[in-house]
Amino acid sequence: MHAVVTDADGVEHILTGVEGDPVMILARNAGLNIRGECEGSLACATCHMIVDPAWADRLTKPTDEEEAMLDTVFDLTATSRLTCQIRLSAELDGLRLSLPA
Amino acid sequence: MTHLARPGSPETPGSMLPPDDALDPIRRIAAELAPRAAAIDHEGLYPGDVLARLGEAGAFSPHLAAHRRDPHDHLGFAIRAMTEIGASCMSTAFCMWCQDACGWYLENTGNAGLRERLQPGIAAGKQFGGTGLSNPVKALSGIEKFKLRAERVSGGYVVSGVLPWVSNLGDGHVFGTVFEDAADPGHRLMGMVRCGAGGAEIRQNARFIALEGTGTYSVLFRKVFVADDMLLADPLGDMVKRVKPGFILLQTGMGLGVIAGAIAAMHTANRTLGATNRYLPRQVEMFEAAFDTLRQTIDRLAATPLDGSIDYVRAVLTARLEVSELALEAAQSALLHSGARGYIAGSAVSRLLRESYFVAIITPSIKHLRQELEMLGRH
Repeated sequence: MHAVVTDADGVEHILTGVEGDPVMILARNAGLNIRGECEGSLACATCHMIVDPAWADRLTKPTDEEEAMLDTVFDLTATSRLTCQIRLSAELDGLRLSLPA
Repeated sequence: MTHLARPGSPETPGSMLPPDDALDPIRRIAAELAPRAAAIDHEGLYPGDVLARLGEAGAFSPHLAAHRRDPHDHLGFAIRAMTEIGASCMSTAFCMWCQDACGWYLENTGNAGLRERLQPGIAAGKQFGGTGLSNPVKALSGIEKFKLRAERVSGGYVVSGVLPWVSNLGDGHVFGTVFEDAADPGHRLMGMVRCGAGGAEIRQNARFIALEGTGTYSVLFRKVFVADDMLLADPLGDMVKRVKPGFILLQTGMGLGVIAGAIAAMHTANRTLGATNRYLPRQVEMFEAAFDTLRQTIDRLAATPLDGSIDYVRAVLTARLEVSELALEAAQSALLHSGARGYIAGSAVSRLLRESYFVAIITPSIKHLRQELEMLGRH
């Protein structure tokens, strides 16, 4: 299964993984500009991406902890998420996201 | 700490520190702290009572002109106090560094009102403080982006963003950090921020392999108002450049403490395992000699923390790097000397190993120091 991330230059990157892989880890492994400083412990918001609105409703709602971190993000959008909290699954196969500018 | 290697002379030439016995009150606190080190390291016990006693004993004031207790006091004595405590518990020494750095920012601000308001409490250990300078130091070196952005409003700035790790925090504690102007990224400013009610929100989401009791939190800035009277420098100017050598030198107290703790552990192991330990390639005497040399260098550098020359900065970065590398080597050697007893969960030697890694990765980490030294080499 995979997710597709569009970077700030409009280039698409296909992230391939297995069920349960966090998108943040796959993006980092692919060399995208994602730091993931807190290893998914919801302490940093350095894995912020914008989910394609067509996919946003298929994701589980952010927890209060994720919402609190998202409140600190500079380029917040209606479909902003922390990608450490998004894991590949059959339902999300082909998920599309973009990196903030 | 009966085996802490000490320089041959209590007054190292060039530093003119107070006599060695001025550290005795700190040593008494260190001895009482040792049995609590595991709980601080692993269970998250914040050593606030110990820090208050260290403040009373004068550990946080040697580098603060208005509060030093001995005319010979300077940054070097603050480092020595931290070393004594770090040999028992580096988590507590790390909190001391946070407190010392916070006082150092106030020492170097042009905002005399802020200094007069906050520094007495910091110096006395009645107001706890931390430092959020890791991100700014890296951002100013081009390693990462500024994590905090400020918008000008009447009477101050509204700040947004998140700092992942700031230590020695709790409700009511203060810390210094740098913001970037959202409207003008070239305009940076440094301010003090208070945690809790109406201020920045602290959250403890992550667990670390050590130092759990150091009050380390993510700090969430959700439109936090920072009043003009809390600003340390606006514009930032050379503030970070000015405080950086002192900031880095103070960190060496943590590392020297780990080295001293490892030396003590090697001596302890040698009492029963000495016949075999003598075959190890690195012996305790080598670490004692390296510790002594390094500490004398640091004493000398600490006497002039505002010397901004390239040669001085290079010497500070080199000393800090050598402390990191020696701490790693000494902690490893302590384990090799101790054998299986050091490998048991909860052993003091296992804690020293984890602490030594912290010395090596805290900003500026070994890789950042090497990067900066290479960049300086081009000047």
